[in-house]
Amino acid sequence: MKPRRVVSIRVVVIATTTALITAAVLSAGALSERNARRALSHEIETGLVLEARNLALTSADALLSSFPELTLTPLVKKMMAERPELAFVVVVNHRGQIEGHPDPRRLGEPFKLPGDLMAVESSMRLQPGERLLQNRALLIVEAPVTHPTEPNLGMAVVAVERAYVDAAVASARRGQLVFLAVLLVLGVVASFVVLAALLAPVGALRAGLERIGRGDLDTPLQIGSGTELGLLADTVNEMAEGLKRARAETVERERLAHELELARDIQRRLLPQGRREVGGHALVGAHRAAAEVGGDYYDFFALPDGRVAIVIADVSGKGLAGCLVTSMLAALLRALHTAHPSPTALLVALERHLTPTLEPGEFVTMFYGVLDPMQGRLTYASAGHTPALVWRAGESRVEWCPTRGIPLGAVRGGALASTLEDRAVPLAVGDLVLLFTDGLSEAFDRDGREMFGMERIERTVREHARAGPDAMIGAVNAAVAEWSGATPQDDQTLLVIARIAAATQRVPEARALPQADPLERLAEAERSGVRLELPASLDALDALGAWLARLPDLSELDAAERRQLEIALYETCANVAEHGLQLNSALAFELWWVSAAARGVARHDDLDARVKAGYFVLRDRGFPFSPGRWRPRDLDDPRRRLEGRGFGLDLIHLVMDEVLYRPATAAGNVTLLTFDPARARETRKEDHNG
Amino acid sequence: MDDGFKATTAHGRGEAVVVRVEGRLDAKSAPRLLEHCLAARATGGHLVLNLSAVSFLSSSGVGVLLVMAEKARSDGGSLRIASPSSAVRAPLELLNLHRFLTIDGSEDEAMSALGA
Repeated sequence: MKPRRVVSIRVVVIATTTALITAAVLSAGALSERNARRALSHEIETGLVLEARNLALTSADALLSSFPELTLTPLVKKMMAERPELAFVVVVNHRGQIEGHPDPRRLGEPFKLPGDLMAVESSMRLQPGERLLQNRALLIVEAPVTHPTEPNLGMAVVAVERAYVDAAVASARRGQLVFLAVLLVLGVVASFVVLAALLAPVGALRAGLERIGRGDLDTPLQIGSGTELGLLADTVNEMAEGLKRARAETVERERLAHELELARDIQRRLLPQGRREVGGHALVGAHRAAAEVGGDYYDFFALPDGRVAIVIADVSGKGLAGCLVTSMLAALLRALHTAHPSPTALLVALERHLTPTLEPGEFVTMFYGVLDPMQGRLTYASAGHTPALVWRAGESRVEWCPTRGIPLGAVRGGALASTLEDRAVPLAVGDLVLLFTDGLSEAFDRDGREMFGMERIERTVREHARAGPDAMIGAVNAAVAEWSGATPQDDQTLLVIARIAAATQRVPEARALPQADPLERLAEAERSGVRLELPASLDALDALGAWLARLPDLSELDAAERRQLEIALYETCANVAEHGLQLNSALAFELWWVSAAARGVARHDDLDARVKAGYFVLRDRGFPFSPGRWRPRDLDDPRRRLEGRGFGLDLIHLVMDEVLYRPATAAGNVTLLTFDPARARETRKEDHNG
Repeated sequence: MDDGFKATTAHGRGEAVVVRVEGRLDAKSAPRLLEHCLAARATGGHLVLNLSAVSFLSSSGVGVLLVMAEKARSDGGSLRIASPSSAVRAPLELLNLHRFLTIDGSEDEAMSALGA
């Protein structure tokens, strides 16, 4: 910066003040001098006139005497001696001859006044015959000498040197000048002191601002001034505080941005690139990173025996913390995978090593599978991960593989092992397994109101599975991106295991249920079902138990089974009433029970006629909503636990054999719940044994 | 609002508070139970929930049990569920949650387990 000429405020203000004081003092001095001169002149003139009158009075008798000079000469001499400023003193008789003069030789001579005399304008009242005259050198007073008997005896003339008058004025002026000088000095000193005191904070202000400029925001200005400068200092201090906050925010933002970049980098390095083919199987992964890097992780790697390990995981933490857990997970996985042939055993071992690095409340959902390409078989265990989807190309059917496993690290103390089990999925040519993270299924739409949901994933798979794994992944990604916008809120990871060619002959799969069509079932229910209409209010749901007890086809259920059924129905109806109809009790929804008997059991040998199984249909005309998905991991997320929500779907899925939701059909939103007490009984048995 | 739901606080011994619940514990009554329990153990300590007279337990009710268990655990207390009715056991067992909650056969058992 160019150095600039600085003029101190103090100098400017003091110089100005001094100039003003000087001007004021000088004009006051000039004025008073004029007055003093006038007063002094008047005084001298008065004195002179009185002197002349006096002389005239005392001269009267002398001029009447025979020898006036005998009296007058000493008198005049005495006057001259007493008043040295007098230029001359003369007494003249009526003939104009000098009768009294200090110099006796001039006696008798005619007296003549100097020629260039002018009358003086004076404020004095002169008596008749008196004259006040002056020329350049002298001031002269003539006073007539009179006597009652002789009015015109002569003149008394007294003169004073004008130089005397000037000297007197000059002397008076000198005194005045000294006074003025003292006044001036006092004024300047006083103004200097006052201004210096008032302007002292300016220096401190400047120093403080320079400090702030250098970046020192921690030393506040200490200015106790009660003037505006004190206020200014307060403002500067506030400004420094504001700057400090802004600086801290910038630092924090930069730190976060750095962390984010680091996290992105770690994540990028951990994820495998592109696709892999092994023994007639294609493995394809896709990952879309969230703005705030999430904790998604997937990988596939060959095992020594020719099988392939496949893993997909979602760490609950985000950002750098989540990434560190992810990289720990990746490292542990590589260290441990050969030691544990069973997926369950591997997950349990992983948790044991991972838990110490997890913060309380942090957990990892993880699907770990081992693909045997020769057998066309995927053996897996899932620790609370979102269910895998299996596409059966032969039947154009979708199977979901939910898990009862709880996430790694969610419940301390080894509870995990009891919830996990190895499961096997045989794969035929054309079949594929879709694995994904909840960033996909829980991707909210642009308004943040509805999640993408399992239904849409399933629909997209149905529509695109035949085009092959790559096209299908592209289609799912595109559908989610269109649903939720370009940048996902959470990481979205997809992984497909597809059997694209026969390596060996596959063992055919056992049971296959025909896909139910909810709309057909609704029509059937309207024809032959038992109907219950309920207002969309939680109070109304109390009636469910009594309604269930009245259904004759279910009379063989024991109390526990009936209770389970009531819970599942309650949860379904509560969902519809709450989410679909917003608990507006003016609205209603319908519920039907259609028993196997009512449908004609002979045609439906897939249902257990012996215990009179059937299905429930719900129909509402409210908002279509995503029922979300079913996974028991909710209970291990402390936040979810604190919300106390998310178990309704578990209850429904656990009790019902099949749950299908068709929102926004021409007939309204339709929910189909297939109930198979035999299966429910089995579930309960498992639970008691577990 | 008469839906048969009722929660009453009985004075426990020592640091324990006993809350007895009756009726349907569903989406409607769950928030009331949560409030009741939070108030009952506002000063911390152990909470014993006697659920013997609960006729119906929905997922919202399960949520309240988990929230209270978590809250109690986080401040050094505990939650014990005393003599749950079969209506309570059914959903807890379906969800596999009975293993993660402390369940006692009776209120007395719960109290003696707390050493009160």
